[in-house]
Amino acid sequence: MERIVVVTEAPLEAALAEGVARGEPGSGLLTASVVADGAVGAWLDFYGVVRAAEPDGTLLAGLDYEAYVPMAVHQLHLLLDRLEPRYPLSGVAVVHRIGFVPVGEPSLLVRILSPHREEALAACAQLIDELKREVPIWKHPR
Amino acid sequence: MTTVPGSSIDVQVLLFAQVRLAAGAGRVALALEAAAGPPTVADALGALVAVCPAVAPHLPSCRVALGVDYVTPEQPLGPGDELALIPPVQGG
Repeated sequence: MERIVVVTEAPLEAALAEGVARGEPGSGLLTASVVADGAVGAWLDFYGVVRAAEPDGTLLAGLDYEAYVPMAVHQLHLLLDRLEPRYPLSGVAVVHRIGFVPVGEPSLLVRILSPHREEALAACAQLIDELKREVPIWKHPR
Repeated sequence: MTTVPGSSIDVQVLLFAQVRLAAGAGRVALALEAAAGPPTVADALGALVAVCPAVAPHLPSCRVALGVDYVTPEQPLGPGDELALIPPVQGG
């Protein structure tokens, strides 16, 4: 399974490209070369986007994301280690933006490629659930 | 990690989010008594509250990491260890 994990202040697509440029594995997840062998039947991109209002109705300019970056990256890799034996996936990219993210912009990208849609959808749900329990990232309304 | 009886060891505790704001610092240095054997994470939390009482109300909701892994309160500590208090996370 190709994988790439990035936690960065850069916008998501740029961060994904930078991760690949730094030589991290997972370049196929950016270039789509991972689908070229014909085994991938599902390409799932999930974007978590900053909403304009808090649950109580308070309007926001955006969210300031804070992370314990080395631990966040490590915990995301552990999470992918748990997903890998459970779902037959071809590739997973997780990119989380930190710092200020304005309303309407994405803070999280999860890209999953797999032979069939069922495992991509199930793995995406589990990944995001576990991310919200285990990965040391916090948000401050602004 | 071995410790010399009668000595103390220095550890660091990283603070994040609401705990960092309550403490007014992102890092606290602690000297932990090691005379009776290696101090534990629980000992470090006790020492943290003694020097920084503002973190006490947050402790019940926090987990603790040693380096980049979650650990239990019984985890023994060695010189130079870096702990992190992890309040409920909110990524996504």
